[in-house]
Amino acid sequence: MSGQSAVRPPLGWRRYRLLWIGGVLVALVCLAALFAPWVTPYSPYDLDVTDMLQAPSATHWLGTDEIGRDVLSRTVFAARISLQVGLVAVAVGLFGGLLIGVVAGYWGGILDLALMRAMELLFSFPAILLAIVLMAVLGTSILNAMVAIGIIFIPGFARLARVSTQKVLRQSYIDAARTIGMADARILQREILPNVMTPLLVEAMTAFAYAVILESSLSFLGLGAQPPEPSWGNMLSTGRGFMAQAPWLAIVPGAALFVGVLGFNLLGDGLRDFFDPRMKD
Amino acid sequence: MREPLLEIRDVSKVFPLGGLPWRRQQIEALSRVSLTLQRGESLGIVGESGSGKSTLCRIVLGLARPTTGQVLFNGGDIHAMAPADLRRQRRQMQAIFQDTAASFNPRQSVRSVLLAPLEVHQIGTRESRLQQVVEVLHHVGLDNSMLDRHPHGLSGGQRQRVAIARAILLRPSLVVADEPTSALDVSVQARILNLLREIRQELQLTYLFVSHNLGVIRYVCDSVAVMYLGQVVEHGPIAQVFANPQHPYTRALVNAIPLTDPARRGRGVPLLGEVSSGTHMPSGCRFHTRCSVRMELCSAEAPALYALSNEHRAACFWHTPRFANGRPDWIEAGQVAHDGGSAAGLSAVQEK
Repeated sequence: MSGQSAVRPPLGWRRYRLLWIGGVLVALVCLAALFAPWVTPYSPYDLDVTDMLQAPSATHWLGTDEIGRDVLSRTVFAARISLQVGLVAVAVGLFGGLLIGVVAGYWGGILDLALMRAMELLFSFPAILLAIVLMAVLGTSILNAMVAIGIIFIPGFARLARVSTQKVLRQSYIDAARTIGMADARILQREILPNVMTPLLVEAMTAFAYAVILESSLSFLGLGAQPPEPSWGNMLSTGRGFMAQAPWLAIVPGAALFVGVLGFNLLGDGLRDFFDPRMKD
Repeated sequence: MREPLLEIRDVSKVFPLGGLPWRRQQIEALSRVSLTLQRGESLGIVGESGSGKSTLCRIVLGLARPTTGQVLFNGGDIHAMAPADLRRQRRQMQAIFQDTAASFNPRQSVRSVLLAPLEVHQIGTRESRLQQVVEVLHHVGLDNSMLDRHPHGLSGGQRQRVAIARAILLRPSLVVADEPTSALDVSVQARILNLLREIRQELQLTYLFVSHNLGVIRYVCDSVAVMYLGQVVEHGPIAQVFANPQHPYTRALVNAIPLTDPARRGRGVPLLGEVSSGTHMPSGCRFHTRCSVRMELCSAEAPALYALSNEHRAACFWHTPRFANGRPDWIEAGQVAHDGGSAAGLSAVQEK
């Protein structure tokens, strides 16, 4: 890999604009989540009934909610939930999909047929519907939301992993590996896995953005993060009821969600251009 | 007679092409090919694209299974072996591929590419393996500075040297080379061919050498088999086949080699038309649609391989005594070669 990066042009702003904007937005969200207790002025749980539905002011920069909690603090802490869910869900989807896709692509035949039809079955349900069904089966908790969202990602990663595996299998270095007597397990680990990871990592960024949206959707429906745990989704859900009196209750978590999702999407597109300039439009 | 190192027995390969189940199309990439390689021999296989050369290589290397037929290596059928036994046998048979860029994992350095064969077969210790790799690198004309480079940063010629190094690391007896020079510049080609000739001498290798270039085959090989649409049409010692080609196809190929002296050019036997598609195989002799000396019989029946001398065979009806009258002057009479398995060289009998 070090040998390849030498041939690449430097990470110039003009060439990798998407990568830079996405990277900065993602860094912002990640830093906020990481240092939430230190950067927020109040605890996200402390309520103050004398201070309900306050408009943004010097004491509460982004106002307070219906039971007097600081909206800025809650929004920043909510980034933690979103990132956790994204991380776990993408990990579940990536590893599940990688396993299924590589096995299907490498061995082919009936196994491939069976695995891929199962993936298409999963794919045929709208994501949010599938998530709701899975939550109904698994029970409502944030951990189950992570797993449910991860399962939704498995078919996408599996297809990508399968196609990449088949592409790699056609290269003569696989024939060369067989010819020197390498066994299947070692071929998979040495020759195939390192060469199918790149497209999957790019897809992981896009999936991450989608995981954030799905987590918010589930929390909005009351199936994800449970109150008083702050999540952009459940904040939007409560804020919706106060749109007339306190619009900041919905606008602030909505804007945070927008920035986070935009950041991960741009980073994903940027990474794709970086790894494979030929794929650029 | 010594036991042959490699015996290809009546190998056919059919690729299904999909389509509706009741009218499924298929391509017969190889049709009943039999070839024998003695230890130390170097057999060239020549033919145009689609003649089945590469498929034959893959089957010999155990990378693809034949539809029918056997490949005996050191007397054992490699397609009937347990996978673990086959992996052990593979130490003895190595390969050099055409596409120098695709034959290396882009994520590995030359060092790990060359250490892999030794690690897989657990040869030597960590230090002695590296020592062996360095020796082999020197052997193919490269130095230690290559170890940490990635194959993609090397030139085509250097890459092919690394590929040769990988092939000879395990001290194989057979090396299958599938168009090893056709992706290289002409000036580099000559040097790689010289290297291949040298290491064959030094390591007493047996080559199965595929090329579409007769000149390359003549330079490296002792004998040659000419393939057309999945069949062997002529096989014999290199000097005989070149001086006196006995199949109309071979004759056309040999005449197509550019000569510096136009006066020495033989009378051309032109090829007619284009190469037929594998899905609509011509009836009778597969070559008849392009043959300039064809007869009526050729579109109805397929010729057997006729023995012209001890080692030279060709598949053309003109070799039979029936057609002694009107036989083109360059064609010799022959007898049907029977597939007894004892004759050296090729014997692929078409039974129809």
